[in-house]
Amino acid sequence: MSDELNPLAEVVVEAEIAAVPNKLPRIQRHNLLVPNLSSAGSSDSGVTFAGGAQGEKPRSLGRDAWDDMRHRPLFWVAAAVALVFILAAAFPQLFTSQDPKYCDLIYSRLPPRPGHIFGNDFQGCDIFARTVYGARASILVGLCTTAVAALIGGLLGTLAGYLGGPLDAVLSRIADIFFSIPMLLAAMVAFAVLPVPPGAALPRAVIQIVLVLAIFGWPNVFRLMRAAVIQTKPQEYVLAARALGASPLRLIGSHIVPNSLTPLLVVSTIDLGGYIIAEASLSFLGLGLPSTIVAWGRDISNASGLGYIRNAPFMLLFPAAALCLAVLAFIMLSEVVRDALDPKSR
Amino acid sequence: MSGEVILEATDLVKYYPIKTGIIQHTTGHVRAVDGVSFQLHAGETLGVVGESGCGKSTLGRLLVSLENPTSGSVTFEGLDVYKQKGAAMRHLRRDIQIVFQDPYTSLNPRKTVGDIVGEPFDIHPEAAPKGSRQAKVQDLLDMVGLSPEHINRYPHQFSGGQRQRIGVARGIALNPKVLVCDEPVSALDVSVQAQVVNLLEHLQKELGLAYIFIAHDLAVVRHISDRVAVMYLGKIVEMGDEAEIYDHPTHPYTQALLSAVPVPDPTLRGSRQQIMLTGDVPSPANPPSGCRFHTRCWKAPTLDEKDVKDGVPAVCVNAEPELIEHPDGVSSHCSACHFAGELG
Amino acid sequence: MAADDKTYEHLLDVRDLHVEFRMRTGVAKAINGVSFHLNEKETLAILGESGSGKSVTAQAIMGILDSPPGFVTGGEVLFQGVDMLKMPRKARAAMRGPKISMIFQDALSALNPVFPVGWQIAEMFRIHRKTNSSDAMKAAISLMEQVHIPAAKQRFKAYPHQFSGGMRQRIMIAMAIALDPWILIADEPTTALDVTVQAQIMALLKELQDEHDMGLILITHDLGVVANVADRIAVMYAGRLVEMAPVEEVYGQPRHPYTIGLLESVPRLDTKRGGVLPAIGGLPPNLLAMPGGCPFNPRCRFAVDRCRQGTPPPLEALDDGTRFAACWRVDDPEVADEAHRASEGDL
Repeated sequence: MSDELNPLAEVVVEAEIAAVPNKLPRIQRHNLLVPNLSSAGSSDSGVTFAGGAQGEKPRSLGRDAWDDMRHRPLFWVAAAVALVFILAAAFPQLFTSQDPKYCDLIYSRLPPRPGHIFGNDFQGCDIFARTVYGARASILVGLCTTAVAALIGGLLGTLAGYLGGPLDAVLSRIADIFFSIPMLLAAMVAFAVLPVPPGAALPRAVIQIVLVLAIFGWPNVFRLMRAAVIQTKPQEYVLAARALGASPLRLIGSHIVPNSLTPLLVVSTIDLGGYIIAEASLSFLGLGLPSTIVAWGRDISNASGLGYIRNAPFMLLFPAAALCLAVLAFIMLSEVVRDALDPKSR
Repeated sequence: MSGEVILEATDLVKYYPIKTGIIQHTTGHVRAVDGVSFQLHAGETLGVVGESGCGKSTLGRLLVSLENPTSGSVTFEGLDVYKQKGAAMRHLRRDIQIVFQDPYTSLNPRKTVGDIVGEPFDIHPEAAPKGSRQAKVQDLLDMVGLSPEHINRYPHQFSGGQRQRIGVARGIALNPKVLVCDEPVSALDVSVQAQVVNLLEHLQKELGLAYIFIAHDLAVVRHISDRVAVMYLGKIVEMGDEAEIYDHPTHPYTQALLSAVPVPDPTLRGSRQQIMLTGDVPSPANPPSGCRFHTRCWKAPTLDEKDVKDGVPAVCVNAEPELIEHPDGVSSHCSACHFAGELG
Repeated sequence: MAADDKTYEHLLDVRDLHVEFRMRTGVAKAINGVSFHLNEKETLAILGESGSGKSVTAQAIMGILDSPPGFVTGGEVLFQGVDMLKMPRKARAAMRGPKISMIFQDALSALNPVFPVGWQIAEMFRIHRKTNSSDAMKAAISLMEQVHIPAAKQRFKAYPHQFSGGMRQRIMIAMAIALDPWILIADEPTTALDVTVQAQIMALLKELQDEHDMGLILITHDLGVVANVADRIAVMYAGRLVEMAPVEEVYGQPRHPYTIGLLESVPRLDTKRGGVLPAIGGLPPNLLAMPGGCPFNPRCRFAVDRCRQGTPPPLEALDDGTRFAACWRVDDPEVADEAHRASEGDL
């Protein structure tokens, strides 16, 4: 039983759930109808029937996901905000002509005004320029850490999930150990033991932060990837490929990984926000990036003196708002991506 | 029955270990397939029927080497399937293919139909000369009743019946000699089911395929099969020609199974004798001793035997019946029952 | 439960029911003007393939339609003459259990996994009848015995996963009949079960129906099951009833081309191997893009221009008034002839 048109079958499932006292998580409801593109396939009885043989473009899941996202205002808002931050990180000159490191004590703690729309900080530096330039360190750390963690976690997760057995057991325990250590605490210890040399250039500092954060961030990705691979491996399309004699490399590369990537993508975008926060927290604590590098965390730290919060709240407000906005944009983006890639909505 | 024997299973056994505890020690075995032997002739269809948990799907997976047996062997054209390695194994896989039950999970959702049906040629490049792949895929789609223009579409754009056709196209791409069909129509609606059954029959005639047709729907199996094997708890309990099994069953389980199938004819209501089995199928992890069916057998208590345990003849509890012919007065096909006999 | 002052014609009377699903991709008209009735102690089978709207009909009657996206957009559902669709939410909910109840295909997901089954059955009495726990427990055990669960007393405290599929179905049935409903709706009750267990469950339903004098609406796609238990059959296709008649007549002489095709396409146990199954060509329609005219016309071998242009009126009474069909060509000798051959099975 099941069907040519199974939407209503899905509705049944839902109604059953609804009829029972313990509510299971609701299945996503939009898009209940699978478009039944019944364009003419000749049937065995020789009847060719008029379906909609309209030539429509080949559609991939990625395309469907795009179509889905495209219709959500949330996606456009989040994407626009994220894009602004990425642009600021790459080309800060586009947004401000001021030098964030040009500071004149004359302007110390002057409030926002034309020419200095965010005001000036304690040392008289332009807060707008510092906020714009501060994006670079945060975004760079966020993106790189995400990429490294996804790579390590994804690779090991795939191996553990596919091969199973002792390798899986060992990797899983290692991941558990790293998972149980609070990332920020571990990073603080790491930087206390091995500080970034003062005056180090941005790449050198970023690499160290990325490595430290990624070492404690990968287990998250690992667990998800391992679970997704274990779930995908016994699927019938994988079995079919095995029955055809496909090599393990082919099974993994062409069937298992592409169908296990969704959770990794989603959790990575969420983690991205987390890493940005972690970097800011480290800078706030005076660890991580050296003071010579413009970064939100350090600016927030500098602005947090009791007197400043009362007398010059704008010093704290703008870098903090930028941090919040950047993290929020990536989290919203991940939410939209998750919904769009959810196979149940297909 | 046509041709020579191309596939032969001998005493095939598959146990799955049951593991418990943190150190995962084995505490028992699920006896999914427990000593199955049969022969398949070229171009014929062997139907395998049974209830869930009888091991029919595991049997199918053993035949296409998706699982390795605990013991026993399968030979294909004289070659021991499980002893083949490397290139020989790859070559063997071209000859024995499988079609799965669920048209929704048997196709990779991230591949186009062209990729899915063309994958056999990626894995076995020698099967299709370079450049001919696209044409071959389109031919295959045409053969299974799909428009060759659909080559760039994705599975979710098709209905269940159409997806099953795609699965069949992939299965026959390498021109196999044996196609194992694991419940190929069970997930489909009645009207679409008939289309797919017709397609399979048409392909068999066209390509000379031999089918192992695994299903729980007895009527569909009868329609498509030359011979039928009935499985219960990992064993074949009765096997023979389609007409023998359906018109002259001699195993009490087959008899009960057949009588339980509701017939779409209200005029027969009440007049058909229904043998009602009690209870459920016992767990394959702990099958009953002797004849595995003795705990549910309707016939055992009616027998006039001297040596009886709890109403069941002692021989049924103690001795496992063999799958043999029972010549004296009983039909000439094999049946694994100490008291095989047609319904009186 | 005899009602002497009977002011209504039928126990359940569904009139011109419309249900649609509103989704971002469009509005799917899942049910388009379905009308039927159920008499006391009668068994009505609603037969249809997936997507035909048979389950949605049941949910609309029960008032458990998932909304949104599902909306009842028209019609009446009269239970003993009272329109349930106009009832306030609370009153409607109070109908479920004592008046109408329902069982589902998948008993495992319909039972709460974290409570013992006996407790779940007893809960019905505690909530609806305010019975105290020991009486509720006794009643639950007697119900478990009624649905033939062996060692009911010992298994009172067992959890759903400790039962087999057939036993779970029995437990769900016990819960459904606990409050002695007038109507039991069974939505594909045996689809997930093995043949031998399926026969047991159908026999149990029949037995309970007689014991409790219930009306039974059996929703299924299985032509065999229907033939064995139904008094009348309603055949659904694409959200419409296409044919309704007493069971012998539907099987003996189907009048709608869809029913004819359906009967032909089922392989039968008593026909030998071989031959081409007379399949219905094509696919069921997409509810978001229905074909013009009769929804069945693209797959219908009898379709003429008229079928492509206009939708046939819903279920017109034929001949003696006990049977109905929605087809332009229902009185055409050509169709009747085919129908005869289909029922004979000699194609």
